[in-house]
Amino acid sequence: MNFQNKSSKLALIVMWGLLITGLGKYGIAFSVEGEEAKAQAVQPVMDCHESRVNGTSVTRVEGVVPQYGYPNIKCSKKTGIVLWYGDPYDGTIPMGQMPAFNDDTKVDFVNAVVKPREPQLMYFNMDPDKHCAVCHNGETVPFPKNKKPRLLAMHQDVVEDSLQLQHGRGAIWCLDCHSAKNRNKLIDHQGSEISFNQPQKLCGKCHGEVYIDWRRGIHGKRSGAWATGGKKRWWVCTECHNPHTVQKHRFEPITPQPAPALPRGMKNADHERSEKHVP
Amino acid sequence: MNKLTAFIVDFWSYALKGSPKYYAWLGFLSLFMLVGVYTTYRQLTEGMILTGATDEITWELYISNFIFTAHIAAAAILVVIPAFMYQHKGMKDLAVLGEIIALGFVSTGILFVVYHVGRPDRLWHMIPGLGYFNFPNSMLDFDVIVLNVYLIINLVAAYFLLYRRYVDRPVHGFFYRYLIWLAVLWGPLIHIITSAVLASNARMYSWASAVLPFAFLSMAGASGPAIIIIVFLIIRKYTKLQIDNTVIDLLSQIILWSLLVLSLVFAAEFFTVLYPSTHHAASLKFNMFGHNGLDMYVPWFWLIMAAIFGSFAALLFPKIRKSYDLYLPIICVIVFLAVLIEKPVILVFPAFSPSPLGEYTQYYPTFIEYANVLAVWAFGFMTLTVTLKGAVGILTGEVKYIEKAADTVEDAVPAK
Repeated sequence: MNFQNKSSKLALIVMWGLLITGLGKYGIAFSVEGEEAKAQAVQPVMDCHESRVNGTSVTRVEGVVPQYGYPNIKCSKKTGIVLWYGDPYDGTIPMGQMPAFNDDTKVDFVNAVVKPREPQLMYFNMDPDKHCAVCHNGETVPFPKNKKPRLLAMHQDVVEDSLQLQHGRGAIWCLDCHSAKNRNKLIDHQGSEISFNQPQKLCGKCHGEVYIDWRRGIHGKRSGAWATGGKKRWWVCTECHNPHTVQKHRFEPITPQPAPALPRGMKNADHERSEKHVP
Repeated sequence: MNKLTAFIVDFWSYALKGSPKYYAWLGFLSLFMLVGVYTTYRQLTEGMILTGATDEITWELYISNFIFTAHIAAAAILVVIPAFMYQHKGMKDLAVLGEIIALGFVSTGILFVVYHVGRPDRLWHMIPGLGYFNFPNSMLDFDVIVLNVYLIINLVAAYFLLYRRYVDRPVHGFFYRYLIWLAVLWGPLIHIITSAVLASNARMYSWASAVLPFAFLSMAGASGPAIIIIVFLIIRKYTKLQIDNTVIDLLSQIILWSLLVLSLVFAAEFFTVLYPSTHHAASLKFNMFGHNGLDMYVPWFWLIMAAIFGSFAALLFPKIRKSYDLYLPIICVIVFLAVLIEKPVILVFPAFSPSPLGEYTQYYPTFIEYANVLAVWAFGFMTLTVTLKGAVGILTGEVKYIEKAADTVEDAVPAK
């Protein structure tokens, strides 16, 4: 190659020109992609839920963790389910008094916290002070005389047909769990009141095995410190199970998250879907 | 001017002067290096996300190329061994060229590792004392040691010899001989340790194999002399340095028998894996036949196997081995490329499938990755070209120390 030659000089200039244009184009292509991603990120999902639809609703609040500027939660765009917590203890209260068993199911609940159920209940919150008692005060709606199943005129949205309660296969009815006199509370076998925030005490009165499993951390969900006695949020029974429909669905199916993105460059995962199973 | 500065000035001024063809070659390489400056900047600022590495396949083209450069670097001692162990006359002068080839490729390899690290500014974490050099638990520690020591050995050996030749003093003394012996011992070591880095991963079905070091050594024996023959043929054609035909013949013999050993190693591995056909055969089967239609590596596999067996068969014919202007260089290029491409498409990428979760994936390198790989290769070939040019000047006697009239009285006084 001889650089004195006019044509080789020209070829060199063209080559450099192509190189510089190519790099420029490449840079532009990349910066556009970045802007699109940013535009998508500014519209987060605000109304979210945990565990099941209408189980526990959470609203996204920005800047809950001030030192990092984190929101309280981040939610799935597709299902609205909470995927990430800025502060996992945001909106929690102490679990409250729990019976201590001095056997191998002994659990330290001192630092256990829960999300209160009461703010999640529609009828409970119809009156800010009297709650359910705004109607169930013995006068507007008289107190029932016994626990026998009867047709209800109201609350069909909770229990569709009160003669066919979808829990316990006819063996139990509303007033085995709800207090007849104080509708703001649930009741145990002895007639003592149980807060709506502690449904585990109510469910545990029949579902002993699952209750013990839950206490020992085998059943259900909890997040926080792993060590015994550490601060931990416990998910209570009714956050995942709807007690009024368990006979239909033990666990209400939720929309699954979309499949994770394929490894970069992979167009599809057809090779994973073959009939033949190759180890 | 003292002798050392004269050496440096004369060596580099000779190395950087050349014909238009020489400049065209350097210009061609610098084009890739220039693109590489931009892509390296991108990778250093934005991170490894710009490479094609995924959760499933975490080793990119960089590390694949590094393994290959280790092959070549180690194989350069095959020029040294005949000269010093078998007193091959023609080789004696050329040993230094082998050292320089080792030097060029080991530094290329270290550069590839730096790209693979992703955050090279954090390499100081490995300095014992300041950081934590996880010795002797981590195999990578051994690799760091063997590579850097090999680099230093070759750096010292090559420039020591060139300097001695430059000032016309005897070379083959006590120091040089033992340094060469050390280099000869150390060459295979960089290989065995690199194969140990791979083979120590019990989860990688196709790496956790006892034959891996032998495969590496035989691939080194094939691909190293291949590039050395090409370099020697180019030097013979374009410079005054005489390279005997017996040298080329010896190297092509080494390629031939290395390819035979390599074929045996492959055959033994394939039989041992495929006959029982356990779970451990999954990676190899994916490589050979694909997985339910996922078959990017299948043609490469058979092509490279054909290239290896074909080159072996071709080199059996003395006519081809003696065809210095046509068939031999072609075979050498084929062997070189086959072993180079074998690294990503047989050794590294298919080994990651199936993943611990049983996923099969293919690797798609990005533009940034290709550009960086080409830039590192361009850098490697440029240092190699320039250093070899200077070395040839010294070996042919074109660059020589000429006693000049002393400028000052001090200079005239001989050193004590």
